[in-house]
Amino acid sequence: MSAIAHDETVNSKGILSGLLELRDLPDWFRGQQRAAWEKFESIPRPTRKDQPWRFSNVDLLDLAPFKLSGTVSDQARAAILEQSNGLDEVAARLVFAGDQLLERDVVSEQLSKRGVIFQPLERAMVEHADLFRKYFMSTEVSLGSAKFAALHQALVSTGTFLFVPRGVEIDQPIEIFHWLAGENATVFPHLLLVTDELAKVTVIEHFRSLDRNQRGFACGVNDLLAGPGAKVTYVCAQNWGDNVVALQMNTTAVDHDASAMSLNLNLGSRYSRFESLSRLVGEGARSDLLAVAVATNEQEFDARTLQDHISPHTASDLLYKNALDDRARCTFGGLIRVEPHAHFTDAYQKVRNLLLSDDSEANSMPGLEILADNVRCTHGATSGQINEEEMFYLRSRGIPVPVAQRLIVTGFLNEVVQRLDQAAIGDYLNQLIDRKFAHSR
Amino acid sequence: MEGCTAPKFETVALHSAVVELVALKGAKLQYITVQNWSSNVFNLVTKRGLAHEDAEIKWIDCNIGSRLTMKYPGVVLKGRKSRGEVLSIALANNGQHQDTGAKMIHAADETTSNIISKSISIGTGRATYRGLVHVPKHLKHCKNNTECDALLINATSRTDTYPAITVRGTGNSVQHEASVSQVSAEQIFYMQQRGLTEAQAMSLSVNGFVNDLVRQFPMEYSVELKRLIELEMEGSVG
Repeated sequence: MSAIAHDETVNSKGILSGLLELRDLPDWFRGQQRAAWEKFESIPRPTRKDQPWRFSNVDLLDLAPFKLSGTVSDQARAAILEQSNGLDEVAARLVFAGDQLLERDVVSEQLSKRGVIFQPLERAMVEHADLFRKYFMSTEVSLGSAKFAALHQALVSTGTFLFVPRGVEIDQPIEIFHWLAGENATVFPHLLLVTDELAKVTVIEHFRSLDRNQRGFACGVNDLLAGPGAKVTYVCAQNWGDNVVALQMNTTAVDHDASAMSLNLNLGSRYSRFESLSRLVGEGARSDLLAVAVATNEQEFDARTLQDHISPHTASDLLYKNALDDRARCTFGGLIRVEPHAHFTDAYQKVRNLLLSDDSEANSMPGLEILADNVRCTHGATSGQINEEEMFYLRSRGIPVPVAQRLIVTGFLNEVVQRLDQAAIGDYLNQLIDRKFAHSR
Repeated sequence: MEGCTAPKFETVALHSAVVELVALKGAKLQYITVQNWSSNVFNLVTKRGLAHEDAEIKWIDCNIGSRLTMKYPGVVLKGRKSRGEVLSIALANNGQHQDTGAKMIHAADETTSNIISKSISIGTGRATYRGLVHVPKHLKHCKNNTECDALLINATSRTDTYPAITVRGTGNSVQHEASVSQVSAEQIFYMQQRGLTEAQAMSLSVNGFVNDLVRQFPMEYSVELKRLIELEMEGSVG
C-alpha cells in the first residue's frame, strides 16, 4: 500500500463559482473542462415538464449550498481508511475521498506485466494520453442529465482508469471506494473502463458517506467499454448518507459477441438518480441491467434507462426491483429502442415495485420504440404489495409479522442479486440490504 | 356506436371531436368507434368518461384510417366499485401514424380498470401506445391491468409503447405488459401450403391476432372490422 500526498490548497469554494485553475492537469484536458463549464452554464435546469424528468423532484437539485471538497483532515482520513472494507478478496483497490485519492493497492505485478492499467485519472491522462483521450467522455449523455455530465466534466479531477488488454482475465473483482466527507461536500466519481478483445473483469464501486447526517452532492460518470468477446461485470453499491443528492450517469458500449452485466444497489441518499445507457454496438452483443432499491423515509430513487439495439442479433435483459416503505418514491423510466436493421433483437424489460406503506409511491414508464420488424421485445411493470397468503403462511408457523415481512422482501429482492451469479459479491450486497432493514425497523 | 368515414377531399382536413360520457350509479355504457378517415385527415380527439358508483364505462376504439390519429380515451373512476375499460385496435399502414392509448384515473376504492391494446404496423406505418394509469394513495383494492401487443409486418414498420403508471399505497395492484412480435414465417408457410396466397395468409394471420378482442364487439361491427382489415392488408405483402 502506498499513500499519496496531496499538496492542494484547502479551499471551500461553492461548486457554482466556476472552474478551479489550481490543479496540475494537461492543457488539452483543461481546455475540455472550460468548454464543459460553458456547456453546463448554457443548458437550462431541468423542470418536471421535461419528459426525461417526469415525476422527478427537481427542486432537490439546488446546487448552490454545495462546496468543492478540500483536503480531508488526518482524522477523517484515518476513519475512512479504517471503514473502507468491502469484499474479502480483491485484485486491486482505490480509495477516494471527495476529489482526493487516499490510497491505492495496485494490481499484481503479474497482471501489470500483461498490460493491465489501473490508475487514477490524472496519471492515466499523462501516461496513456492517446488511449485516454480516445475514450474519455466520448459518448453523449442523452437520458436527461447532459447538464450535470457537463458539470462533472468541468470539475472532475480524479477517478479511475482501468484498461484490460486482449485475452487477459482478472478473476478477483477490482474495488473502488468513493467517500463524501464534510458538510456540503461534493464528489465527482469517474470510472473509465476499457476492455480489449476477450478480456474479462469485474468492478465493484462503493459509494459512502463518513457522517450519515451530513449534506452532500455526488455527480458521477461511468464509461464502460466491452471490446469484442469481452465480459464485463459492474456492480455499484450506493450507500450515501441520508442527506445526499446523487446523480450517476452510466454508459455501456458492448461490442460484438461481448457481454456486459451491471447491478446497481440503491440504499442511501435523499435523492438518487441513476441513468443507464446500454448500447449494443456489435452483432451478438448482450447486456444485462439489474437494479435493487430499498427506499425508506423520504428517499427518492429515480432510474432512467435506455437499451439501444444498434446491431442485429443482440440481446438485452433488464430487471429492476424496488421495495418502498414510509413516504419513499421510486421512478422508473426505461426505453428499449431497436434501430432500423437491428433485426433478430431479443429485448426484455421488467420492473417490479413492492409497496410496503400507504404513503409510498411508485411511478413506472416502461417504453418501447421499434424500428425493425424481426424482433422479440417484451416489457412488464407491476406494482403490488405483500401477498396476504404468504404472510399468513409464515405467521401460522410462528414467525412474527416484522420478521415475516423482512423475509418476504429480501426474498423478493434476492432474485436480482442471484442473477449476478457471483457468490462473494452477492453475499456482500445481501449483508448491506439486511443492515438497512435492521436500521429502519 | 359511432362510425367515422368521409369522402376523400383534395386538401388536408382536421377532425377534432370531443366525446364525454357520464355513467350514473349502476349504469353501463359502451361507446364504439370505427374510424376510417381518408389518409389526409388529421384526427385529434378528446374522449373522456366519468363513472359513478357501480357504473361501467367501456370504450371500444378501432383506428384504421387517417394520416395521424391522436386519441387517448379516458375514464375517471369516481364512484366506488366503478369499472373502466378500453379495448383498442389500431392499424397503421403506409404513411400513417396511429398514436392511441388510454387513461385510467382511479379516484375511489375498489375501482378496476382494464386496457387492452393491439396494434398492427404495415409498410412505413407507425403505431404508438401512450397510456396513463393513476392510483392515488389511501385508495383500497384498486386494480389495473394493461396489455399491449404490437405486430410488425414489414421491415420499415415502427411501433412504440410509452406507458406512465403511478401507484401509491399498499392496497392496490397494477400490472402492465407489452410485447412486440412479427407474423411467424412458419404460420404463413403452413397456410400457403394449403393453397392460400401469401396475402390471404397474412390477412388471416392478422385477423387472428386481433380476433380475441374483436370477438368482444357486437357481431355486425366485428364483421365490418374484419373486412376493413382485409381491405387494408391487400397489397401489403410482396
